[in-house]
Order: sequence, then C-alpha cells, then structure tokens
Amino acid sequence: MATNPQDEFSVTGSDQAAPSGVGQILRAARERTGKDVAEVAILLRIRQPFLQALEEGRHRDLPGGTYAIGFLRTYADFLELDGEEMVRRFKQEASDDLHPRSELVFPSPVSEGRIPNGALLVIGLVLAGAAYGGWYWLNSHNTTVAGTSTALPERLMSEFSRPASLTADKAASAKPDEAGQAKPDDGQAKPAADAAKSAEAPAPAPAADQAKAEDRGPEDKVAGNVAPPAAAESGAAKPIPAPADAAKPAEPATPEVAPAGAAEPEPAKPDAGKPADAAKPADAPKAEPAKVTQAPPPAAPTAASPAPADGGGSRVVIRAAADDCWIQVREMDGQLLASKLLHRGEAFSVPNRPGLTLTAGNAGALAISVDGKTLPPLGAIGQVRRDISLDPAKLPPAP
Amino acid sequence: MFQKLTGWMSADMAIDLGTANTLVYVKGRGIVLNEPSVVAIAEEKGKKKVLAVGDEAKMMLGRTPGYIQAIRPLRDGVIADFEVAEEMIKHFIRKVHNRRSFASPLVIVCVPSGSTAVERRAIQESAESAGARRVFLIEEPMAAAIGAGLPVTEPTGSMVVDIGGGTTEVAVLSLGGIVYSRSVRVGGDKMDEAIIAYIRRNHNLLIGEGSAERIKKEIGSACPPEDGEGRTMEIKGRDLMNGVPKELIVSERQIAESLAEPVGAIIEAVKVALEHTAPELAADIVDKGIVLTGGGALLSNLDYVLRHATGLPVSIADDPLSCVALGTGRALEEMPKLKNVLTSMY
Repeated sequence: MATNPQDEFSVTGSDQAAPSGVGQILRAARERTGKDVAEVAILLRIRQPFLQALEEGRHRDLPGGTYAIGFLRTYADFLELDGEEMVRRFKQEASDDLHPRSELVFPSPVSEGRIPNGALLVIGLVLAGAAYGGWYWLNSHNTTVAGTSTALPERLMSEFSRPASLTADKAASAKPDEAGQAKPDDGQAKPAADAAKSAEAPAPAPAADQAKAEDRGPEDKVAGNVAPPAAAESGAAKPIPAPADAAKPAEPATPEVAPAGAAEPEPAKPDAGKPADAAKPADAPKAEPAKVTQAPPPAAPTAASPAPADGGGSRVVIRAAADDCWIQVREMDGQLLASKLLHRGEAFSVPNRPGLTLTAGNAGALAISVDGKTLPPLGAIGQVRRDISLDPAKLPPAP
Repeated sequence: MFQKLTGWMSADMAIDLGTANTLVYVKGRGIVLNEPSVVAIAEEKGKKKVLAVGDEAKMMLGRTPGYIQAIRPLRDGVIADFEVAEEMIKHFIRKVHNRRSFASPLVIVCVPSGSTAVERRAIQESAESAGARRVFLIEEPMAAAIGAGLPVTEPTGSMVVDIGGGTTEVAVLSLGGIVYSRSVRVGGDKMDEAIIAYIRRNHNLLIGEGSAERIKKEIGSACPPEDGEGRTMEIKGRDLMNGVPKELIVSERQIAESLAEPVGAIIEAVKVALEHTAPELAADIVDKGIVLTGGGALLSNLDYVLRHATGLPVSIADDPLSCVALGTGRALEEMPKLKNVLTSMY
C-alpha cells in the first residue's frame, strides 16, 4: 500500500460512513498523481462513468461483477496500489450489490400456450375410453346374446344348477351344454339328471316338464329312424332333420317356439311315456346305463331351440361333426351375427335370411345340412375357409 | 432414474484437459486436482508402462534416460498421442474417483473451439475408454466465460480471450451461445519456444522447455519496459559454440523482444475477432471490454498491450488459471440448466 487512507480527508458525506472505502482510496491515489478522471479514462480505456462509480462507491452503476472487479484491478494497478488487496476489500464492500456468480438463465423457446401435456394426456385417455366404450356398446347391441356367448363349462353348470332358486329357464339352458357334449357314460349323465331335478323343483316345473315331453317326441322318432347311440351323440343337430323325416315340418317347429302352448302333438304321444319314464328313473340316482343314454337326448332339442327360435325354423344347420370348430357368421352388410366356438357335436342353426356368409376355422370338421340333407365337407380338417355363402341355393348340392 | 442413481454413487467430474495443465473438478468438491499434462513412460522388454503422471513426470521432462520417455500427450490443445492421453486421463480419474463406488463417472471435457471433429472425437473416445460412463464436451471459450463469471446468457455481448498452453481462444458470446470464435494455435508453448529460439539465436545458448517456462513466468512481459532493461534473471544451458554448460543473465527487455511474435499473433486474433463482431455486440464490448483468462493472462503487461492495440478496456479474470475448469465444473453442477452448451460427438 502506497498510502494510508485514514490520513486522507473525506470528500462526500457518504464516504464518511466508510472512511477506508475502496472508492476513497482510489480517489486519493488519483489526486496524488494529479490526473483527473477523464485523463485516466482515456489511458485505461475504461469509460468515465464507470471510474466515477468506482470512486463514489456506486456499485449498482457498474457492469456485472467480473467487469467491475477487472476495472478496479486495472485502476488500482495503474495507481500503483495493491490490486489484489483492493479487490478483496471491494468484494467485502459490495457483497450486497455484486454477484460474481452471475445467474445463468439460458433463453428457451416460448411455449406455444396450448393445452399442457398433463391435460392432453388425460383428455386422450378419456377419448380413448369413450371410443372403446362406444364400440363395445354398438357391438353388444347388434348381436344376440345367444349367438355370441359361449357355453359355460359343465363343471360350473352343475354348480349353478344346484341352488333351488334357479328358474327352469336356466336349468333348460344348462342342459344343452351337457347334451352338446353328451356321451353315453354315467358321469355326465348324472349331472344332467340333477339338472332335470332342479328344473322340476321351482314353479315353472310343469311347463318344463311338458316341454320335455314334447321334445322327446321327435327325438324318439329320430331314435327310431337312426341308431340310438348316434342320436345320443348328435342330439343337438338331429331334431330338425327328424321332423323332416316325419314329413311334418311345421309341427315340430311350433313346439319348439312355444313349448307350453302345443302341449300334445300327435306323434309325440305314444312315445312320450317312455322317455318320461326314462327321465324319472334318472331322477333317482341309480340310472340304468341304457336309459341314461337316452336321458341326455331329451334335453338336446332345447339346446337347438333358442337359436332357430328367431329364425322360425332354419333351413341351414351347421354342425361340428368331426371336431371343435370356430365359426363366424356375418350379415349381408358385414355385420357380425355370430362368432363362437362350436364344440364337437354342437350345432348352429342359421337364420333364414339371404346374404349370410360363414367363416370357418376348421372347415373339415363342419357338416352343413340344408333341409336335413348333409352336404359334402367344405374342406380338409384344419383348413380355414372364409366368406362361404350360406344361401341354400348357393351351397354345393348334396350328393 | 437409473442415471440419477448411478450419478449419486459416482463422483461426476469436469476435466480441463489443457496442453500445459490438467485440472479436474469433482461435483460438489470443486477443483481437486491440478497437475501438468505430462506422462512418463518406461519401456521394459518392449512393453510400455506408465511410470509417472503429472508433477512427478514433469520433473523428468528433458532429463530422462533412454528407456524412459516423458511425453506431453497434448499439443496445440488437442491430443497428439492418443494412447498416452488415455493413460493420463485414466490416471487422473482414478486419482480423484472414489474407489469404493462402482459406478463410473460422468465426465465433461472441454475442447478448443477450433478443434476439428476428429480431434473432438479423439478426446471423447479417450475419456470414454478411460472409464467414463458418459462424456460431454464443452467449448473452451464458453467454459472460460462461465468460469470467469461473465453474463453469457444475457442479451449483451461478452468477449473472452483464453490464452492457454497450446491455443488462444477468442470468442464473443451472447444469449448463451458463441457468436464468433477464433482459435489460434499460439499459447504458452509458443512463447516458450520463442524464448528458446531467441536465446539460441542471440546468445548461442540452448535451454530446455522447463527453463524457458520459468523465464516466461518470472520476467516475461508483453512489452518492453519504458526505460532500462527491467528485471533480470540468471539462466543456465548449454553453449552451442563449445558445447559446455553455461550461465547467462537475460533481461526483461530481451524476453519481451523474444515474445513479440506470439503476443503479436494473439493481438491479431483479437483484432480479427473484433472485425467480425456484429455492431450491436461491438457496442457492448466497447462498454465492458475484454476479459482475459488462462495462464497467458498472467503474462505481465499483456492487458496493457491489448488495451492499446484495441482501444478497449481489458481486465484479467479472477484466478485466470482455473477459469476453464471452474466453468466446466459449473456446467457439471448445473447440468440440466446448462445442457445446451454441452455437446457429444455421438
């Protein structure tokens, strides 16, 4: 230090508050050299206002921290003062006004002021949900439930049929499943018998009974015409061909549509007694095997009945004869009518409407019959066939 | 998420890979290493092994027997010897990185603004093979300006002149980017070479690089003293005429004369940069002037010479030697905010 700042006189009131202020020392040193600020500014190339601000301690008028300190160091070195010491003091004095560590805020593109991302996401999700819901609603309202729903496994059905509160309706729909997969063995026959029992328990039981009696009529005829085991196996598909055999196409249809109304059709009567008998022993746990084989078939017609019910007696019936097969039936305008898996032995009666098309996942397993005449298979086992017209006229003729 | 976890476990670092000195800044700890960029390699049975790195290796520079080589892997700010540079970075990373943590560090390395893509790739690859998890590059003038505390992100022009060992970077920055930059391959090394050449030419005395550097630091000046010879210094070397070691006294005036050429190159670079500066930015620079960083800023009277050559206020940054390392370190600390000054070659 070349001078002792305490000996120097103070110039302004503000300097009195800081007698050893950096500005004061600078001014004193400059005055000793006999130069004025303008001269120094030209020599140091530092603008005069900045030098004055340094001398007067107006830290806010100086450019940013680094520059102010650089100017001070240059000025102090020029005045032959200890630059580093002056910088140290200056930093102490100006710690409030100077921020040597300038805040760095990089310019970033202005956001376009649209919907924020979070809201966009939520709206997108809601829209997606709405679209799915709408699609689901449309689809579920245009197809019949009977056409699209697949049958419940029999294990569950036997569970369901136990509670007595179940209506005969449910019991009746339970039976088709068993009948569909029915094979003449004891294990499956017994649940069927149970189902029959529970069906008889509630109020509608008499009606159900009657229906059974009627259904048995044609079935027994079939049994008469065809070999009984075959009838038992293909119970679901046969009832329609059966009336054709009997040369009474209209009559069996009516019992199916309104089972309760047409109570006693002629052909049914003579045989009705026997299956009824057969069913009753089946109620009792110890059913004879021969009778058990007959017990499922009575249920079979009811299985077929819901589907043709809206068609009013369909001409074309698709039956999964050789194996399980997935089928899809579409309307003329491409609308889905049915899409289901036909288990072996199950049948699907096609409504009598023009322009229906069939897609089959296992064409060889299907047996299509028109008016009771079985057509040649559509393809090999495992072959997929699409867009087969189901118009009776367009199907290949029966052999 | 995973990045955060590994970042928490590893000591991320910023490296100022300089021609003369390498500084390592570790996140949360500041500058932890400052050593010369020198590697001593011993050759044993045809196999090269690293003998020493940093200060120790610098002592060997120019004093090695046949089987040891003291190498400066960086020349003119870029990697000259790829393998040795990799060894050096590996050594420094190992030295500062916590051995117990198994996650490899994220590393930011600064590169001269004038370096080519090949040179940048070489730096990035050697840092990666030295064990970095991820490598980012930052341009030296930007790092220097951030380290010097210049308001680089404001809409006002700032001019920074970083005089390193191998290169001098002149750049005008505004709004967080480099508006104009110019890199000349003149720096401390060229000054040393100029001193060696001058003494050999005028005094027939051959001195080593180390001695030349010492002369530059002690009595080096950008301009001769106003009167007289200025400070003087004893130097030792080998007499070229009769081949015996000799002692000699050189003065500040002589050294200033010898440094005239590299200093002139620096002034020229600054002038060219000013010529290419847009008028609005030039107006800002007239007000606030030029900030000098890097070891070259410590050459006495360089600010005076530049002030007179350009007519602008010239100030020297606080702690000019570590400005680049501090700026790179700040980029590391405030990575999410400063990510747009970082680049990667892939």
